[in-house]
Amino acid sequence: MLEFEGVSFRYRRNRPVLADLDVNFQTGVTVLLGPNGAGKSTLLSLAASAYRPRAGTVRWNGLQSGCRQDLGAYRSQVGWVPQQIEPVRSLTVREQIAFAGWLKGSTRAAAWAQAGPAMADVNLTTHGDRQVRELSGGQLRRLGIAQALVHGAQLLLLDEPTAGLDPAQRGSFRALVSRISAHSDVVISTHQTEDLVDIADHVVVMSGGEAAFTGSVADFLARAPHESRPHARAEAAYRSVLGDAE
Amino acid sequence: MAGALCGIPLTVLFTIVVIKPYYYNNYAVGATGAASMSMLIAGPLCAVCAALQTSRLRDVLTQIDVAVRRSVVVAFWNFLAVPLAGMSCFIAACVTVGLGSDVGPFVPDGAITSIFAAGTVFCTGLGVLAGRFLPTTVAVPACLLVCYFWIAVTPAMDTLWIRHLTGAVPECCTSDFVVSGDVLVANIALGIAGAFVVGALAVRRISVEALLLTIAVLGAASWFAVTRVDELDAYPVQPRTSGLTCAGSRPAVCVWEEHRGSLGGLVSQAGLIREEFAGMGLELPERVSESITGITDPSAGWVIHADRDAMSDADMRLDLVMGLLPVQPRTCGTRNPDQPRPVTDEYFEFELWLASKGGTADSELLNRVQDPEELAAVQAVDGYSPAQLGSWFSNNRHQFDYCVTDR
Repeated sequence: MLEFEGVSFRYRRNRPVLADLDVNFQTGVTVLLGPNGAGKSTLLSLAASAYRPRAGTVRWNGLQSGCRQDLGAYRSQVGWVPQQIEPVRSLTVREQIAFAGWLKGSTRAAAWAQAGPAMADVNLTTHGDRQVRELSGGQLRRLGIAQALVHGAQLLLLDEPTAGLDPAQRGSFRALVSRISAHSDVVISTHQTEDLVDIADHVVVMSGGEAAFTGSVADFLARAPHESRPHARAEAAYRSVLGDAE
Repeated sequence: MAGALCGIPLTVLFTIVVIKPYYYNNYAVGATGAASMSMLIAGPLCAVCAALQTSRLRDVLTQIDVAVRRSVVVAFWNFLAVPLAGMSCFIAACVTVGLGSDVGPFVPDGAITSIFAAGTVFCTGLGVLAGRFLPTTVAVPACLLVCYFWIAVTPAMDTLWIRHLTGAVPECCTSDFVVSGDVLVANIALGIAGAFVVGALAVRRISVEALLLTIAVLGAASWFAVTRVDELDAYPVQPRTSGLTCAGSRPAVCVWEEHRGSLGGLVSQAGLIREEFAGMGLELPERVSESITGITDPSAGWVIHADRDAMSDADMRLDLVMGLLPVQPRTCGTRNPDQPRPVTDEYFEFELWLASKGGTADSELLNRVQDPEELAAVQAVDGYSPAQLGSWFSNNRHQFDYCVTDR
């Protein structure tokens, strides 16, 4: 379980993004909803240990991201896919995935070997020898997920993974998340509600740096009992939560 | 790595074209110094490769931020290949110098090799700086420009202290000199600063604190390095103090160990010459040496240079006799093969007389003088009484005050 306890954070000389936040992410697939500027990306960056909280603790399975002794083990269990996946010049798909595995502590040989299954997980096997610069936007997203999975991450953090994807690519993405969730916990940040019904077990809604809702999908959808179509119901529930938060 | 290795053929070609074998005949330090001129190729290559690698790693900073490996480890393994490729250029240059001269295969001098290694690390640091703060299309030409200005242009502008910090030690060492330890220390300080830049800036987000610390380290290293070298002369060398091999007595002959093969012949010829001069009433010192160290007075010994390969008896005789010319004060400690000789009449007359005694034919001596009368005056010396000859010889041997070489 991913736990945030009394977490505060602000970027240099800016107003606080998170203030004394307490929120838990249960096992399974959790969708992190919220409007732009709600603190979703910051939350995932903190969960990935890219930033250190100014106060409070972030824990995954008892490991604290802010504790020097735990940091290596913590990072080796967490995979993060930021919004922008940057292709590294002159590397092939397999090389870039293997490099990510090496960064996560695998030996060169092990990282190279692990890159194969990671490519297979995201259906990039046939592109292994292509230059990463030649990949499309959707393929780059899958590359990012393969990079996050290559070292056997138990928790996968996906920041706005469906932004810019067409409907067919979103369908493929839902299938991919379903496969990954069989062996890893997943947190997906988004401000779109349409996909959550199909793939999520839990919902967390962020608003103004606070957790406005935490619970199961069923509890979340119960906020809009009058809507019959699932996607419209999710959208109505989301608006309801945000309305209550304001 | 691959980019820098492309510099090897260029380095070999450069070495063949530029290197002058007669400066460092049989002397590994001189040959290593000559090979170090390949810094002109390897330095800019290292900087460019480091700039390109830095700009590539900039794209994956988000992954490095959450890496299990420490950033200094990531920097080490991602940039190690760059100075190694530079050192490959250096080794290729050493092999080329060895094959292209009488030195043959040689073990490169440790001090100059260290200076070269520090230079490649420093250039790698320069590349990281450029790659970190400039777009790639600007960083690469900027690296080339800065490195070439630093290495190539500064000697032409006579800023000697910069010349000594370039990592290139061209024409550093005739056989009685070694490279100055100050140059080694100064370059290693810059190399450490370069490595610090790589570790601090290459693979992590730049904080104000890290940037200020990097500037402070670079500034301190530069200041320290400059204080070590700014008092050096045009050539960053100091007298060689070890490696002499001696044989014989009256006179004892000492040569550098790389000239050991000529020692037997030199002992024999030196004995004959000493007897011959004694017959003219001239007493020669009891020590002949390739090292000027310890010969602080003409009566203490005379200096020879046995650095020609496969010397004949006639070569040895000529070298031994010409070694009786007084050492020029200006050249003590910083001997420069291109430096003009003194032009006093007395010195020139003494030089001609010694050449004559060394076995140079009169016809050749005539070619050296403008007026045959000059040669006649020299030949007239042989008609002096033993007392006159002794006085004339002694005065000429003491034409210049000897320098103290342990400066």
